[in-house]
Amino acid sequence: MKELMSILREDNRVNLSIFLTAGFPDMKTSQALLKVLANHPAVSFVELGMPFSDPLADGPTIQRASEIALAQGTKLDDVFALASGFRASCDKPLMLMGYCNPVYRRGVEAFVTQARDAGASGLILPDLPYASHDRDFRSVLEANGQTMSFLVSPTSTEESMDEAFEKSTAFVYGVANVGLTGDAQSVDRTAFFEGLQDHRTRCPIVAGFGISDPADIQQLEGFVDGAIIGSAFLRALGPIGESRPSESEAVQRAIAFLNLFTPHSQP
Amino acid sequence: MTQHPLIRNGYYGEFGGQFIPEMLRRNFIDLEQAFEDAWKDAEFKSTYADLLRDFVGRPTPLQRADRWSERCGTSVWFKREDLAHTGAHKINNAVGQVLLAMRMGKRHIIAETGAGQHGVATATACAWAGLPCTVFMGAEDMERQQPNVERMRLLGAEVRSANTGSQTLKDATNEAMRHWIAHPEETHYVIGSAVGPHPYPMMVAEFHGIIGEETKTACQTKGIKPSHLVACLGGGSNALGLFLPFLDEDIELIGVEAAGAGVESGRTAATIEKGSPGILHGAKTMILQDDEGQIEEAHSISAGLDYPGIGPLHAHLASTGRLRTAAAEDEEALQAGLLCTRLEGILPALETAHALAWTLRADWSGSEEVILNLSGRGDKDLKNYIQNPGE
Repeated sequence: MKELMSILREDNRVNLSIFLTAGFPDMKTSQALLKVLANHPAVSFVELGMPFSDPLADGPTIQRASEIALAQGTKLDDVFALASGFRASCDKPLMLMGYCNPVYRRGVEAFVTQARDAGASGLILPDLPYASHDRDFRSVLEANGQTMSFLVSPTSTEESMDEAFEKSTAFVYGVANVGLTGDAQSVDRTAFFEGLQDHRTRCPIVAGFGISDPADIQQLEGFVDGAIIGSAFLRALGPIGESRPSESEAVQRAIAFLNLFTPHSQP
Repeated sequence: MTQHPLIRNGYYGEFGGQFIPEMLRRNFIDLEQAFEDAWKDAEFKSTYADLLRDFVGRPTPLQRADRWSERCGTSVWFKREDLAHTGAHKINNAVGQVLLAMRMGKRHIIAETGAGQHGVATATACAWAGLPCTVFMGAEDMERQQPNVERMRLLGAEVRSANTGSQTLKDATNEAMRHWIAHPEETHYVIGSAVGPHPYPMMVAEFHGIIGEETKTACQTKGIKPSHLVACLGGGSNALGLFLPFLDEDIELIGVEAAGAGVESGRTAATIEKGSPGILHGAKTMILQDDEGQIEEAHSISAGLDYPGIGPLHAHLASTGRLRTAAAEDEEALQAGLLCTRLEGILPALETAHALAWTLRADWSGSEEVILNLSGRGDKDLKNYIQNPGE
């Protein structure tokens, strides 16, 4: 498996990452979708969402996806199983993204060891305070070769900006919009990312929240090393409601969505 | 506030903290500073005190409940928060936080509500202040607390239903937090209980500290030497307000949680009795959760206690043994509420009825002086009381 930070630094382009909620729309389809992400040339790396009952930073799409995944009984061990399957099929990095409580409930050491064994690259926990990271996570992550990535947003103070770039070991997650995941606001993100350029030599920057199409990515060209699409990808799989797409439908739609980002290549 | 001996780096013992997404961090830095400044500012405090007197109607009485005392077999006093404007203690905090928001130059107030009391209180404070107000409320709670929904609307507030999860207080809190994340600059979020990330638990407790301070004064005037302070615990704001000035005194503190259908029934809101340490709504506290760390649904007849967490200060006080907890079931609370209505001529909120229920079964020697926080009136619960008229 390639190291994520070096992939991000390797070439001067916006590496595309896709977020998928584990267990959505069901375990089998999640597995099939991860296979698509593993094989599709447009995708550089993957965020696998660990569903949580109270996802504070997520908009309606990922909330609903988490609810559906949990309603079907998706457990943490299923998330690790999906990660292992992905690892067996490609060498693209995979990040686990979720909230603190399930991680603490499992036990930080047990969780990180399992993440390592499943072939994950690291963690993103938007509600983890720096002090808790330093006390509970840092040495465990180091010992297991796992990374941590922190968020910065347009409202971040200089102090926490500094801390994010110092403590992130894969990339800094730049929240492009003030808002939740999936919020479609047409804002000029470049001003925010332009302001981060001085920090960029310390750690690569990946943009997320509210990024949905090739035009968004294009706008970020030169400012960031990667971009994460989550809600828009989940929405592309079909309407998130009572009826769920079949596995073959979801796979076809996923490929069609990803092809938008590589108009000239075949998956 | 940071000087309060209970606080260390935003924690109360091992509980509390700020488990928040980065998008909210600046808001919390600003809020902590603004409250600290305001709480030291004589002008702010005197404006707040004037409002509590003239608008809220404080001080509220400390009344000896003669017939209730007779039934319990010991001396019980009611701190009559039901007589505060809008019918519950919630207004103390709502007025305080709205004043603070005005001082911070915020232009929009949001709040969550369970029973609707905090929503009504916040809508009331906003009407007074001339600020637009949005209240998030679980769809199920909107159904069971319909009169309060109408009151909020009459006061000019927008009520938004939270349709995710259990559609109760927990989900309303999620929605309010999310709105704040998306609109951090112009908005102040008035949290209604002593829950959430620091500084909320301590700030809400300080705004309600007037309950305990008045109680202390009234006890001195009336020559009462309180032995027990009793209050219901949902998030724990009314309890903390009463307890806060008495923490260092040799008085027993009892918090009564909602057992729902029974602490062991799987349908309960008895968070301290039944829960375990975890993180909910940005704070480490005692929560109801499964083995996977997913938050479980709480159950209580009382919408105000129907919450799978507890204020982190209470979690701390309980863990050190300073706070003693008990739990009362739905049916027991209903019957206690009805009994209070007949014996004392006070129709209590179903939340308060849990504390009342405990005093009926506690093992009293007869020489105690018990102060019970009569945290709210029960007009909003008429439907429940009428459907279960008792004997």
